[in-house]
Amino acid sequence: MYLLLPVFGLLIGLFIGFDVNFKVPSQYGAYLSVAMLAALDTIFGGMKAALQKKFDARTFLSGFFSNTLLAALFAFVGSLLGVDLALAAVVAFGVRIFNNLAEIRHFILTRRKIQSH
Amino acid sequence: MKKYVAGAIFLVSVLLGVMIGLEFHIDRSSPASVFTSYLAASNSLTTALDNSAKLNKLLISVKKEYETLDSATKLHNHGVQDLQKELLILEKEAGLTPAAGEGISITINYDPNLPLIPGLTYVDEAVQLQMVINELQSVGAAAISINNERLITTSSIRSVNGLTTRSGPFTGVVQVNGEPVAAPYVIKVIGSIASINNLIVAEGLKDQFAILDQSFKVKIYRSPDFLRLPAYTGTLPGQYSTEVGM
Repeated sequence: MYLLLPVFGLLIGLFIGFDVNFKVPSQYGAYLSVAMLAALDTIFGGMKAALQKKFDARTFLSGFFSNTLLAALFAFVGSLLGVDLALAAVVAFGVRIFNNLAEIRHFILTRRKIQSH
Repeated sequence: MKKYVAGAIFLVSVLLGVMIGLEFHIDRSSPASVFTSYLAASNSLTTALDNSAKLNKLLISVKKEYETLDSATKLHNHGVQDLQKELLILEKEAGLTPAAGEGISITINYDPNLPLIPGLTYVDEAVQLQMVINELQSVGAAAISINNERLITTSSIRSVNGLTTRSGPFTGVVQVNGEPVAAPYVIKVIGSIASINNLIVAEGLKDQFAILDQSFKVKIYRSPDFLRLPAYTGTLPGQYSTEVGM
């Protein structure tokens, strides 16, 4: 049941996101994308922490909000300063996401290996 | 799993879903979507402003050029209109347009009632007509025609002896502008009626024709009953030659 909670949450969020009658101005699209990338990074980090039995809800929530908002804010400030910080954020979060995914994969594979022995 | 942990996971999931959903609400058809950042938009705006200034300068110079050409065209049009007016006047003076106005018509015909002068063997009718035309021109006739053949400066009036079938001293057939005309000869003249009448009386033209066995009848045309003369439609000398040394 608990495993289905994120799925339900995602479906509800998707429903709200699609259903909302609101056009995001194209100039803010880049900031939304960077924010979403930061959110994904936090989620994968949280999944990794949960697998390692180190999950902390406060850290997870604070990381989610701070990463998301700061990523969007940095991208916006970068565009004002003439520095493409959005690209830097994409690279940084991209690397972190792949690292987290690799660790999750390694953890799952290692655990299965131990269980099979 | 504790409740707040589940709540945190649920909240984050919902927010992620909302963000994914909003991604599909980005207006990518907007022209602003071309610019990936504020910097790119700013640079584009600067470039556009530079281009705008250049285009404004170009527009001003093009406008000046247009005004110059427009004024030249107006002058040209005025020139063309003046030339067309002058051409019309020249055509009118040359007899290339129909003419209408006050004047007289003279009808010269054989009159059997007049006695034939003994010893009269030959009357060249063309010479007689030339004499009348010459007299009419001397009193400022504006336009003359013989049997609707308009006379111009290069018109010819000649007798064609071989074509006559008439017996007697008359040539019978006259060519005006190369076209054959026969009696009665109707000479239409636009000009001062008083001057022409005075001329006819002073020169005794009626009597001169009477002794040649020809009647000489004059009819006067006054406004609004204008005399109408056709335009000359024959060959012009310029069609066979070009001016040299102009």
